[in-house]
Amino acid sequence: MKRSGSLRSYVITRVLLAFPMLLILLTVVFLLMRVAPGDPITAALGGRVSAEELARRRHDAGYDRPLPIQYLEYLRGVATLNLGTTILDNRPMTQVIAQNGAATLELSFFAMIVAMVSGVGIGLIAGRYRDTAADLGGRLFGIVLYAAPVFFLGFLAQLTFGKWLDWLPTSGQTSPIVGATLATHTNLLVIDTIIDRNWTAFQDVVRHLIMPSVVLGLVIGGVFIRLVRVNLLQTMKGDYVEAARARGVKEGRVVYKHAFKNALVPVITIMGLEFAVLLSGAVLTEETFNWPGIGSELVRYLDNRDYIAVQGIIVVTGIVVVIVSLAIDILNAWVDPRIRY
Amino acid sequence: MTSQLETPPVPSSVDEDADLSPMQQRRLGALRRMWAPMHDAKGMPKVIVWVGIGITLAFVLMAIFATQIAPYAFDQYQTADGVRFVKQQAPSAQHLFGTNVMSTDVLSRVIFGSRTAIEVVLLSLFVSMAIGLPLGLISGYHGGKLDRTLVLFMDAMLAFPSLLFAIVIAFLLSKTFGHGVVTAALAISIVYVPQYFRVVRNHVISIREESYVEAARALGARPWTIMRRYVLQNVIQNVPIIATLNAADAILTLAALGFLGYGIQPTEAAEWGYDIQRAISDAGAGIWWTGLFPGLAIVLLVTGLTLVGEGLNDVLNPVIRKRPIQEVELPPREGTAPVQDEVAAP
Amino acid sequence: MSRTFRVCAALAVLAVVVTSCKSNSSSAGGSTGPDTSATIVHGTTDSIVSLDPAGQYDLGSQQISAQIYDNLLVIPPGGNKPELSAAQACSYDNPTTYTCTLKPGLKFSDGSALTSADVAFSLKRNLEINDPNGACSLLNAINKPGADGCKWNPASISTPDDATVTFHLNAPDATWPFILTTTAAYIVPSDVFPETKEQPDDKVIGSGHYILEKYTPGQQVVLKPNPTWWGDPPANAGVIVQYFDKSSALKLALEQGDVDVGWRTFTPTDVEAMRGESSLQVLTGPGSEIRYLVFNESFPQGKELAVRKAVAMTVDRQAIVHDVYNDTVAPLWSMVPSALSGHVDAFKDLYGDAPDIAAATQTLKDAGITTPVPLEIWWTPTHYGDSSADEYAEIKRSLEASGLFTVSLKSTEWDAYITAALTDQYPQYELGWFPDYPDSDNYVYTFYSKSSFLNDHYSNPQIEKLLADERASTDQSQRDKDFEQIQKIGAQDVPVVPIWEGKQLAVARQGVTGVQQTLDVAYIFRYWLVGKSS
Repeated sequence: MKRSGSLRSYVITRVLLAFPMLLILLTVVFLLMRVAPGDPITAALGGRVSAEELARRRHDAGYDRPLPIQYLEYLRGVATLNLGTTILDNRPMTQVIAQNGAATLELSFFAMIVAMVSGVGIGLIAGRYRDTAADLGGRLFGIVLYAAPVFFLGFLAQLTFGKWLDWLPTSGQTSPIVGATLATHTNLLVIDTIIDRNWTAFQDVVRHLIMPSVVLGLVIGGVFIRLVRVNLLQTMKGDYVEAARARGVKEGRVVYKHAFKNALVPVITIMGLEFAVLLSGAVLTEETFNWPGIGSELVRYLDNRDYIAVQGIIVVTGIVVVIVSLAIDILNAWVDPRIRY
Repeated sequence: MTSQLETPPVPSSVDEDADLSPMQQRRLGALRRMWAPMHDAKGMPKVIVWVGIGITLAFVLMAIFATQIAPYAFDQYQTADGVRFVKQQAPSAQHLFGTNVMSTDVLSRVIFGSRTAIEVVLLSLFVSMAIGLPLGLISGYHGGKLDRTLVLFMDAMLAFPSLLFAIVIAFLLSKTFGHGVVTAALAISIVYVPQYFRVVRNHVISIREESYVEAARALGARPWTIMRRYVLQNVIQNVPIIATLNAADAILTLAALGFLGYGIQPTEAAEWGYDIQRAISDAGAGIWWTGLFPGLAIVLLVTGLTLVGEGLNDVLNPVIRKRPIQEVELPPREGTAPVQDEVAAP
Repeated sequence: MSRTFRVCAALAVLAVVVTSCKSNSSSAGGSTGPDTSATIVHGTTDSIVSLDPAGQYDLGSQQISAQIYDNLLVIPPGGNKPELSAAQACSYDNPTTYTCTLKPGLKFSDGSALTSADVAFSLKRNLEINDPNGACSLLNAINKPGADGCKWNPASISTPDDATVTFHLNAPDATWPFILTTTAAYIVPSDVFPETKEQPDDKVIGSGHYILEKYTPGQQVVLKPNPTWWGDPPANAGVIVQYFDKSSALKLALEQGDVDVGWRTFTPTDVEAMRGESSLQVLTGPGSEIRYLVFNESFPQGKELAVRKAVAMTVDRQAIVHDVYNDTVAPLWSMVPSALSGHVDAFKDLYGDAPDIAAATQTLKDAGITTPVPLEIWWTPTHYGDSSADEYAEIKRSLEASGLFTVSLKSTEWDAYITAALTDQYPQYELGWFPDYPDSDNYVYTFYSKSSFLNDHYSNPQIEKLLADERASTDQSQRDKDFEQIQKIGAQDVPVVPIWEGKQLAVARQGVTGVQQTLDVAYIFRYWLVGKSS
């Protein structure tokens, strides 16, 4: 490996590497979807029309053409950013991404905030008071949160706050009446209601956001607790921390002023690593809470063998993941000159 | 090979093994060295590991003896006399955890669920290691085009949300293999192959350039011998931690697949995630027992495995482990008895 | 510290937001009749494929389209035969010619006049666009003869003047009036909808009870009353249709008051729980969806009449209906649902209404078949709902309890399942059916004709003759006699075993009116009948 040490060459190499990675992803998904038996027409109309009729409709829709031709057509579509229209309900993929992607983005954003606040906060406390009850409690809390599947926490939350206490709504982004009167600008409902100064809608949207984002955020935060704690412990072994102690600085100040900040630097990396986990968790959260995000759409389209929709969603997810991890890596390389090609 | 390359000076206390052959002595020493950190660890890390091992062992025993422990079969919906169970009955004397919407006993399904979980996890661990380890070894050692292609492929898979991948693969495999343990295990193992690959490959690369490996090569040792002697041993130390943490993650992925409906069907085996999916509808009716107990089972088993992994990490990771103070026995001066002195180890 | 203060302030704001009261839909007025200024919120788990008639063949799309568009004929609330809607008169001139006269002064919601040209245009474009998701296969009677698939035949519809439409059918077809009530015959404006491709979903225009005001795919449809509708105005000021992924979420929304009425589809557990809620009313009506067990007669067990009869005598419908479905469905005694014209309880008449193990044992003994008979029964996990698993576990139980059978259950996902089932791979399998239109022909032809898509290798020349007879006849009482005969023969030959028929089921909050009227075999939830009393 060359060690040129230049940030620019690192960025260029990483960006160039992203393309083959994406290509591999697209090909794998295409093959998986087409190789499996079945197709959207059979999924929708099988059992209502005869087998000949199904075959005719399949032929009309072009699903029995040879695979290489379909593959090339697919690649051409992706290259021109024309991801097509879904088969199941005739929605342009761009609309699916814009609407449902925005819903997932909103959920992920607030979940990440909850994760950071809870995870980083508890992780720092656990590391600071190592091997005490606070440390043990914090670590155990983190492990249990990680071990609890997000849909189990969702189940408990729905049971407690939805059914028994009846405090919070347990499904959807808004209540139906608010949804009917809402004007969408960015598809990010919290922002849209603020733009319109529609305070009843804002309150409704926030109330619907609370349970899913807290549940998802806590589960992600569980991982943060452990990672931040370990990082803090490693940082506190550093020479400059020893030096500060040797100078007679009080332990509390040592931790707050010197160790915390440096321990948090890798948090960016952690967030990047957790992004893929966040997306997986989002699928489960959306299924549990009837949240109209891209994850629940993926499940719905997959169940109906809607090739175009599934491929489109996975392509966009792949691109987003690649961009985010690229951004994180570049940020890291900028901060830490050792990590360059 | 001279002993300097392989083993550091052996403490005098091991002289009792003088009756063993040199080869056996070396092996025993190696084992003891691997076990030493566990033995040395005191306090919290030790407790954590042992609690984790205890929980995991409890589930493993539950899985092995499921047929004996569970009051009913996992798909049994009537007593031996043919009297049907009441659907969704609250916990009672005959059904300690109640019954679910399919009129099956929740406690039995939780117990058999542990068998399903352990089976799937073991199978998937085996498959991912069987694929990932050799690939990583070969890729790391030989380098070149093969290495670069594999790394690209594995990185692509690693970057992508594993659950989405597992869903699509499970969907595909279920066409051929049905909805049983094999499909779920294979879907999960494919997801974890890149992790083993990456760990092993990185290790191989870092060791590959060491001078003793170069020396071995210069002396004419075959690649396989080098990999086995130097690389495999080091790697094997790391694998248990990764394997336990992966096992914990695999159980969560299995439950997630079951929850979404791509996992194991209830007629094939009991699976906790599927039971929770049916329980979500129950939550709306205030029926809490069908979802609470499978969920707690998942939390406990994954916690147990994670504690083992975390604890092992605490114990083995040289950066954060706490070393105890070691007693050093100074060699005796001429004519006098050995003097024991305490010197703080670095 | 200023940072902790800010955090505390944010938390306080959040607490205020959370604990303030929920928004509820208000109902105005003090009269006892329906409040026509109220908006109804309907919750459902269906989804929409397309709002253009040319691109839909599913219940979710049909449900909304039936509110927006009008047909020449419709099934009236509670009825099971077509009645006039956009047409003021329709009749057969001769067995292959059917003429309708439009009502005077009909308008689309954009104000343009509705003429016979629009009617012809609507049917023509269905055939020309030939969408794989569409229902052009319903228009076989006017399809180009000899064509492979849907093809427009210009000679099939003539429009002598603006108010008259004449259909020239390829062959005598008694089901044509029913077909005119389906999605394939919605009337669309010829100056707005393109002829060779589909109209965008958010820009559809019809002449029905409602106008589409807003459409958020996958989430919501908002409907407002159509001022140009020819009939009575609706009992409400508009409808919001909210789409849910899971029935449990819909149920919670109903209980919390976010939704006024839920229709399609609740699980039996949900229904059981909601029966106990005082704020909700569970309403049922006759349905047209059925479930049945098919025997493929090319397999050794399916080939034996005695085996098929014995299964029909042994299967415990009551247990399935009561234990698995919590009485949200009813036992089915014929392959024609009980609410349809021409139905007879053929299986009950022949085999009784409870499992008769003695008779089944005797039947098998007389045919010299050794018991227990091994049966491999296939079912599919998600397509027919989660209760399929429980239903087939129950069937296995009741069959094995008789000692006459040993059952092995197998399942696959829907798309592989339906392909395999229809291509001779499964010996016995589960299927369901809901009709394109509520005429008995849609059932008996599907299950008993030798060219039925079931491909179960059953045929009976007597039935073929009866089918040809009822299709050619325009006398409903004659057709009913034919249907009865067919059902009786079907019960004797038992190529398929009917198990249950669904009930139309809706759950509404107290004070919601008009729901009971619309629960019938037409499978349309007529929003214009639904109101809220205060």
